Amino acid sequence: MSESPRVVLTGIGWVTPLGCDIDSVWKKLVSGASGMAPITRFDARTFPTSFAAEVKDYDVAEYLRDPSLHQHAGLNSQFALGAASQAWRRAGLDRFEQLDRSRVGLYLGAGEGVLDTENYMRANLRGWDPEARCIDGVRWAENALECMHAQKEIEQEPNMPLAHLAREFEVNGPAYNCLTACAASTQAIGEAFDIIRRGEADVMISGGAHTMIHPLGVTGFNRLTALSTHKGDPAEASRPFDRTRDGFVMGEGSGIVVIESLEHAAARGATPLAEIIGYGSSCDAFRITDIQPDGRGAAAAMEMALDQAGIDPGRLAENGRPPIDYISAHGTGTQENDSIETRAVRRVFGDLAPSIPMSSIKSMMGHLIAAAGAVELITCVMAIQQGELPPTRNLHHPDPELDLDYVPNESRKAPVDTCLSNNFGFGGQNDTLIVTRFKG
Amino acid sequence: MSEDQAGNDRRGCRSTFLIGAILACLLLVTGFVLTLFQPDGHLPPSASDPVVVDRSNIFEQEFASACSRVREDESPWAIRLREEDLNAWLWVRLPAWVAHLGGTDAYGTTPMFQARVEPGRVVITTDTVAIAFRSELVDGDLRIMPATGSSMGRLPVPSRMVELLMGSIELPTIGDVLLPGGDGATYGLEDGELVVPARHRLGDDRVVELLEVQIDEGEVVLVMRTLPPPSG
Repeated sequence: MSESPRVVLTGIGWVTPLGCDIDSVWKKLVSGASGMAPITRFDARTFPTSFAAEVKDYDVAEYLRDPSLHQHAGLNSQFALGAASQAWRRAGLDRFEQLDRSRVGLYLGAGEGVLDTENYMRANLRGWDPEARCIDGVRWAENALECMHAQKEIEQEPNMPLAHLAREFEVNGPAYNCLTACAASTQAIGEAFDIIRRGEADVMISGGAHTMIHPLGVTGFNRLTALSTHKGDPAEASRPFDRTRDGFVMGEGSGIVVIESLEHAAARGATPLAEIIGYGSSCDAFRITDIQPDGRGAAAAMEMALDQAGIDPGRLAENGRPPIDYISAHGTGTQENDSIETRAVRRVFGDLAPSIPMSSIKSMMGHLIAAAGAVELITCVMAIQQGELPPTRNLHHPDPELDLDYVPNESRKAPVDTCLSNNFGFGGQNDTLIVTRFKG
Repeated sequence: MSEDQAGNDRRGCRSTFLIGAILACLLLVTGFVLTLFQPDGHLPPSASDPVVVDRSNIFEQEFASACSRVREDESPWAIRLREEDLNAWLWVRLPAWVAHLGGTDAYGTTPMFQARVEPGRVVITTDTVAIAFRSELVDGDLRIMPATGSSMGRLPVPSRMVELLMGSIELPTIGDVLLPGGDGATYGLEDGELVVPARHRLGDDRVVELLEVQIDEGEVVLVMRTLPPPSG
């Protein structure tokens, strides 16, 4: 059996609450900026959580060849189009005329589209029978057929971002979407990595896109008590690893990467930004909304990725440095996640764990749900490129159980060669990716 | 006194003067020759040695991690700076920091410093001079002053001369991270002593304050505490 091809990242792009291009968002991340503010997309004043990290000043038309091709695209698809266009250009694929588009695939971890909430509610109200004190199904159907929007119905399907990207870039290789909660885009990139390693495609467009900043999304996470209900400045609401943390802040956006076999990248003269060397996935097999308390599920995903990368987590590297230079934490800012993630990192790296810097950009960008993993992997690529670690914002009160180096409040210059990115999701989903500096 | 005796005395004086002059010349030449040697023990390795590069990076990372750590209260904590780590940092990271602070180009003109840590003093050497320092914490300032053990090449130099030399040095701008010390000054030279505030502001406005410096054989131990940001 021939050796699996090496897989490199050649394009990255994101649309985030901190901005919509790689360099300006990176500057904001290392300066500890916050993308959080009161919700503007709907009137959230009566919700327990009335703030979020919304994407601002974004016009998808700026990124497209022909915006009319995507005129009904949902917000998540619009985010994906902007991020993917950046990645496509950065990879130089817009200028590569010999590209065999049947060998270019897509694997996204995109969330569902935004529900047609307003028209749905309208149909409910019009269908209400006050005497029977219930909804009259016949009347509801008449009204729903009249007011609900067909295109908005289609755009709710989680594979719509993928469909828009395929159309935009005219690629028709393998096409998949997974929606494994908050780990989705990490899993998508991992699976795309495996598709290239299996030789089923030369190039994969991968990542995620999601928005849940709508009444049902906020209601759901409020009911789960997962969202911060901080009273005061929204910029201080997301406090990963801080003793006073009280939940995450909803974010939205997209992160997309272009990955390809090293052979393909080299043949067309592309410059690798980093190399993917490990991917691991596991499930806690525990309660749906809780994480296995001893962190064994998260640890299993990390161990699988480290094993694939050929990294022994219990030993210093030959150069005397820890085996991993930076961990991009899932770090949601919930009491449960941050404690168990810390426990899992300790379980994997043992006594070396405190010497590995680990931070959570969710403290600045919010939680991009299905898109979080891709955006955080791009952060790892930037850390390698720039030699700087983004901080964990709002970390002021030490939690006696959390004893790792969380890069509190201030970015740090550091040599970064190898990064590990964790993402975990409801249902006990755990995914880990490892990227390293490309060395020819 | 006879003429013979007077002649003998003159010859004796001349001889004494001659011997004295020769000895003085020898001393001067010896002193001059001694200044041509590198100071004792000055042997910096290549700053491009990967082992040294890694050591310097690990040292800086551990130091930054300890300083930025969020702590429960203002209890003192300590960090140990080993001589080999300190030297790796001086060789690899100092030039980059000097460049970052607007000094010179990285790896360009910054001399290769080396530190020798001995009980009670740190001897900083370049390829031409060795300057011994000791330190004291006085009223919220760290005062770094010359100690015995300085030399030009291998020619011993009195610490008073080092004080005079230090008085003529113009300091580069360090920036606004150092908080004013006990006398209200940020930092500077005073009576031949380098005065550096013992308090450093972190990016989130917390303050790390140096409480004690212990200089032992081969290592410096810094005792510090972290203060919360000023309220309001």
